Amino acid sequence: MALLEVQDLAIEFSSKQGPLRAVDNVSFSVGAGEILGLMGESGSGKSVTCRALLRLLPSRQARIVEGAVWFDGQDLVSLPESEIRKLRGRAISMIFQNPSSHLDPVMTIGQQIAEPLIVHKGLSKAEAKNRAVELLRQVGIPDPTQQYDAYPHQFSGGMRQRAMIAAALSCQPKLLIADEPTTALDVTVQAQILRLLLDLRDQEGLTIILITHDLGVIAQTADSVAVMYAGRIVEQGPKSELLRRPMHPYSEALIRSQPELANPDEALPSIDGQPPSLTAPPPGCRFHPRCNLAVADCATGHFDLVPVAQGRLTACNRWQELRDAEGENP
Amino acid sequence: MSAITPSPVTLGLGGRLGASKSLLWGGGLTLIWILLALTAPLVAPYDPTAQDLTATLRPPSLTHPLGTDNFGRDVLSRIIWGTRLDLAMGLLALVTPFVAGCLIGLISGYFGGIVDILLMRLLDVTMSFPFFVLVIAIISVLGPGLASFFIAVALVAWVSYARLVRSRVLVLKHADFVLAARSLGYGHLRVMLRHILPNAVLPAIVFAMSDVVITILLGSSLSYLGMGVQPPTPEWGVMIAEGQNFLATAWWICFFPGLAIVFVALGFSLLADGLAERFGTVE
Repeated sequence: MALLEVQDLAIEFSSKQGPLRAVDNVSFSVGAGEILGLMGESGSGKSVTCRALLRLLPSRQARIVEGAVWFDGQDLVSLPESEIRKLRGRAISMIFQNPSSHLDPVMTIGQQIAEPLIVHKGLSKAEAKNRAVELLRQVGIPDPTQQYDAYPHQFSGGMRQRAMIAAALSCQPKLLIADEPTTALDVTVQAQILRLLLDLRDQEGLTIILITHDLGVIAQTADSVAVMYAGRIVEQGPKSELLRRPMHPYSEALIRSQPELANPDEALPSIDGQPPSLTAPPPGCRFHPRCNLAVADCATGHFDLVPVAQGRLTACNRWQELRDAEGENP
Repeated sequence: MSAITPSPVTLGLGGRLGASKSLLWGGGLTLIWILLALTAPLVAPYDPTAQDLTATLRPPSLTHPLGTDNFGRDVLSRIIWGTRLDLAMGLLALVTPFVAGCLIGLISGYFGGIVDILLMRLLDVTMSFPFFVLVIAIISVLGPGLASFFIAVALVAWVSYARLVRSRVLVLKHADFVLAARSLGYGHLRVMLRHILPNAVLPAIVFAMSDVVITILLGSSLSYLGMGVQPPTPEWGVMIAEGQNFLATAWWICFFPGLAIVFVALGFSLLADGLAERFGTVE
């Protein structure tokens, strides 16, 4: 039974050139205790999708035009604002890419962690403080009693991210949406933060949606992966299988262009061309103008995500060819 | 958001104070005036309203360090007692417009739309009149006295605070930490008051320090014109007004209250500059 189920989600932004569909026909589900990696390049709609889950889109420009998000038997898309607010921070929490700018600069770290406890759980100030110190300890901040009174600018990037995780988890939510939680951190700290998220999943049964453009992060953490391109999910499947044998040319190209896998004597492989403009996306498969395997058929018709193997879904009609090409040229 | 992050307190005490001389001097001067106001009954040598008709218009001397006026009242004592009234006028008259202006700016900037349009038109109308003219007009309608002065200042002075706070809120409401606060399920009221306002209020506080000067000057000017504090209450503007008839023969009656106004203004101005420098919010 999935904890969260997204069905046919579509989000439009209003722009001068008319409505811009930033997310189109996106469906996925996350089981309890699972870590789903949502992968894609900048502008592919991963962050917008996740903000939409908590209805934190800029209300004047963006709106959910289609679809449903089922969480705990409720459709988050049709819930009134007052009801969705009760879920935020309590049942579903979010952490962000840049912990420096996502913490209030004039409030102490401790107060920011204690605040959700006072607001949502009705704890007294003293109780909340004790609990906040405990949370700081749990996320691995040394000397938590002292650091409770520190301001964000006195913390390093990694410590700020830990503090943000502590605030997000203070009310024991079931689902954590982590929007590029390690992108702004250096590699050693990155690994520590990912380790912390994994520990939280193992010990507390936390379900995590991990947004990232970094395949390394996916490889270390996720159980299953959804790959987004130009506002759509193009491929989905269990992590190890998807990374070993991608079934969509875009995922395949993405994996091939990872610096870690590159041969130092050769130029780094890249995907030719630019992601399409969302005001006028190409017809048919949105990836076909950049795809090596594209044929005339790819420019027409619908390309929906369809199951092709156990647990595997792809939006590519020619995934068989991709497997054959792989087979010939391993 | 680096502009609103207080600079890290890493320097020693000497370094920090040395970095802002105006903060030190302004703070010191203001503190002296506040102490003088608080301890007026103890430090003033005479009763400020006691007349001594045997010693009128005496020049500064050992018994009367700043001389006496035409009723034989001690000028020094009157200035010290006047500190109470003038500081209170400057500070108290600003409390209402400061609070009202900050809240109006916060609401206007945060909610935007029709609320913002209406409040900003109200602000434009208020600002289209010269400050002094509008205050004097309101007091003329309400009748002279301190209460009218407070009401008039409150009706006019809020606009600066509303504008300052609104412009900060317009930026801050899209700040990442506000999004993070909303993602933790806080309501509008909490986000506005606990997260946006503390980050938006600093320029308003700095401005208030220089606004105190203007308000004290305004209060004194109005008293001078007979529209504020009424004689025989010791107030600097009143003293200058009463002394001007004797300017040629007894200059000290006007000169010392004028000097007091200058030094109070200097103190608050330096304090405002120092605060602006310290927190990097020079407008």
